[in-house]
Amino acid sequence: MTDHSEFSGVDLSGLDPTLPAEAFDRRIGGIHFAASQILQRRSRGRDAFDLVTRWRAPLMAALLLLMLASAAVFRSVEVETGADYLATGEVADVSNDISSATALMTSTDGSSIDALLGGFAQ
Amino acid sequence: MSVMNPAPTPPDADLVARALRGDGDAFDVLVRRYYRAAFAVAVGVLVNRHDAEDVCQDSFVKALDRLEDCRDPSRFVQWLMMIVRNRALSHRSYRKVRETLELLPELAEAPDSPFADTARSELADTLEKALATLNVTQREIVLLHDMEGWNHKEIADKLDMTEVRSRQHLFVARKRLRETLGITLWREYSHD
Repeated sequence: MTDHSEFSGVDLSGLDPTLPAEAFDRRIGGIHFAASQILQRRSRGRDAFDLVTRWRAPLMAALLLLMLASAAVFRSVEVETGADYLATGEVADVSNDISSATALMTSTDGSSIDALLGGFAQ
Repeated sequence: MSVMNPAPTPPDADLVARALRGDGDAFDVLVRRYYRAAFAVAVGVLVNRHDAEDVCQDSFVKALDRLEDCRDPSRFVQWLMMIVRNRALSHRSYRKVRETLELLPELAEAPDSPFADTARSELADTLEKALATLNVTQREIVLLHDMEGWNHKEIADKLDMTEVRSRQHLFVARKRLRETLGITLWREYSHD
């Protein structure tokens, strides 16, 4: 290319980082060494750990949002029902029912079907 | 009239695809193909060849690590230049802090530096000082044009500017370099 309107080019070869060739080859070797772990990881293919590592920031953000939303819902339910007395009472009732059904199913008297059909009635 | 250099073979997109699969040879070709361009951009920002080399090494490793983010592999070089420029700017900020704290050690030529040779190092010093009289864009353009061999169309495409602007910058940069280098040479000879 000739640019008649411009000054002729300045010889900048003194700054050329690819000269001398041996020094440049060593520099390239250094870059390759620094990149060797990344190349190994890439040749191995993506595993679950890599995916988690890559997506850790969005995953953490989503988890935080979920926690905040859960806390907000829990707080609103607590306010509507008055206290956590009812919630713990319901949990206790369900726990008792499960214990009764388990006792019937493990007992030698009657079949498991009897236990399922009549267990909760007892 | 600028004529585009022939497309390099193998194309960047192929090399990027291979590097994504961990092909070290493909990565090497990319590094060798664009090292001078990356160096030109880094020197443009830093005006220090040693720092520019460190930034180049760092940028190529970073580029490999983040290769998935290069959405258009055929424009790999534009994406790489962006990484180099950003890292050079970060390095410049870091250097300012370091210099303020007066922790900067004497700049010594690293044994594997291409500038370890004394005569070559002196010439590089002279050129570096002359480049310091230019602004960042002028430095990038004169290095990419006169050292790397890019034409104005390529520079315009890769640095996101018009060809006319690229020509203007080159004209001013060369004029100033000639003035600065002329003064330097005159001073050297005047001591004899």
